[in-house]
Amino acid sequence: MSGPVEALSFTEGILAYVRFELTKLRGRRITWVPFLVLTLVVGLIVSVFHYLQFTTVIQVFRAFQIFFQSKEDFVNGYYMAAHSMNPMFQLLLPIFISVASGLMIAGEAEAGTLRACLIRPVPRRRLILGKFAILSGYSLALCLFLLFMLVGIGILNFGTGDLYTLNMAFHNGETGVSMVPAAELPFRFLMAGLLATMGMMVLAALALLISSLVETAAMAYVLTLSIYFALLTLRWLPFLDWLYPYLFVTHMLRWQQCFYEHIKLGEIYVSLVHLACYLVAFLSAAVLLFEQKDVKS
Amino acid sequence: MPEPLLEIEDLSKTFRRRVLASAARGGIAGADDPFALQAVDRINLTVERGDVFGFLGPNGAGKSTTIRMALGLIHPTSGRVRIGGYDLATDRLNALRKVGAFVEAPAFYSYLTGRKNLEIFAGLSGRVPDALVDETIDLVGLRGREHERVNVYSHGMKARLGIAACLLPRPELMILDEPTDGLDPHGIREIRELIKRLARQEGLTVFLSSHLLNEVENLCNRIAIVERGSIILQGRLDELEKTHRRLRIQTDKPQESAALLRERFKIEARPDPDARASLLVMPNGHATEELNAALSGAGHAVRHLAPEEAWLDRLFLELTTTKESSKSSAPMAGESLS
Repeated sequence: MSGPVEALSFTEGILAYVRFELTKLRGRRITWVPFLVLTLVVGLIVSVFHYLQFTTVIQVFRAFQIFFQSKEDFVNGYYMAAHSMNPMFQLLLPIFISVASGLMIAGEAEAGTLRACLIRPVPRRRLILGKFAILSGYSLALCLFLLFMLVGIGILNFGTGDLYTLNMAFHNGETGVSMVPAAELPFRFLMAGLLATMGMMVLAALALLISSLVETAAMAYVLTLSIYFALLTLRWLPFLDWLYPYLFVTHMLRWQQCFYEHIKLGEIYVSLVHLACYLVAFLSAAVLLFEQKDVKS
Repeated sequence: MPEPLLEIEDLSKTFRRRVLASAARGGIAGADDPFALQAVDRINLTVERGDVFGFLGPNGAGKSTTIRMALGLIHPTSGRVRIGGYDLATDRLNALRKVGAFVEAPAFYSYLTGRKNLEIFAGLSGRVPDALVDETIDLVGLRGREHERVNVYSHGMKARLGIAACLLPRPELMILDEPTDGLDPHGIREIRELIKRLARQEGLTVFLSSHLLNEVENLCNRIAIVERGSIILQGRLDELEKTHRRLRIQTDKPQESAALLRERFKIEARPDPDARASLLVMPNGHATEELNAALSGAGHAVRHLAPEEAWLDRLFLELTTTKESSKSSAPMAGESLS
């Protein structure tokens, strides 16, 4: 037999590991399911927007002294995209990210491939950080794909134009209407997508942390989603107002600020700092726990 | 001078029970902590370069937990593991560079091809040229099937792929946990021949955990038997054979023959419980020819004189089948423990 294989340098090792994770991610059929689901859901949204006459919305706008005669006056590709982002970014994407993250550690532990990796000379820290890097890329790909589909297919069906939004739909109880000129909208959507990705990365870090603690993928994503939805629900309880600014879910939704007439950059910075702190905390805890984890599966 | 490749010193692992109900399963509860379970208790063993070391024990004896600790999957409560001179606790990466292993069943990404699996696992150990992958595929006899997805592989092919994954980083020590588990007789023979070839022709050191005692007898030069988390017997197989393998003797005067052997050689001779011969004799280092000559010289007609078959099975069962051990065993890794 030939002699032993040549050891990799630190950087080569990281790149090799990321390539390895990418190969697995690409090969897994479930990786592509969210893209298919998002495509189908966007198609469904387009149908709904074609079908609806938006008479109630026209009346609400009227209450704010904005008089539209028909939906053609304000419904365009940007309007469809902005108003579809809420359910997609609050519900669908967190589910996809949690499932993908759950499969990364607990899923591999369940399948036995985690122990096959850990008996190789690869630092555990590199393993979990590599997984996080891939999950971050996956989150970015999903967010940008969704935005591209929403905006692109929206524009193809309903054209472009200025974006009118009812603030209450986006800004936690604030009233009024925001109008963002069409020229600014591509940048606004890109910014919203990047902010949403940051939120998804925090969720991915939380999912990795939970995935390090439990032995099955199902347990990992059910727990992650339970925490996420429980915190989302807490936000609606008036007696927990004081807690609201500290919850990571609050800051995960800060992308909504991008559809304010005047973006409050200060609030966005605050949210970015919060998200970064949560990210570091979740990821550090995940690394610490994973390094101490006994792999018994 | 024998060079130790795997050294396990005073290795212990205590798990804590996850639920009270699991206490009903039995096990070696710690004296101070009723929820503690001693899965492995101060195990010491050394595998020297060139050894094919058989690690035996009944289910739940602590074999898998020991192997997992030897590979850094489970953190020991106390004790030390050194591989190729590197301490696993302080120099894990260098220690693991010396080892190729699979624990329980070999695990793969079933949606990827066999070759891709080999490439990615080997890639974790270092830079792997294509020629090395090809060489390994040939070595384990998977040529022609390497581009198929693993989910269409048979158990035997998965086991061979598992061995290929162990071999690819070109380790000095191969640790195989139940490599023939779940295989049919053909698969068992194939894997046994492969391990034999790797050990004898390629000079690999092998640490093999198995239930199949004839497999161990065929392959190994040294063994350890573990029971309830502790090693109860360890040694060179040829030396153990000398001290534990009995002779079956059939003579026309069994009682006189037994008395003669007892008197002249100070060896124990008793009736064969299987009735396959008249006597079972522990020769205690005396040669078969010597005993035969003594019996024949005394006018006893020796009709049959042969070493006991499956002596290792018998020894294993004698050592591990006790009332106490059958009701309580150490937990296997992953069993309702935290």
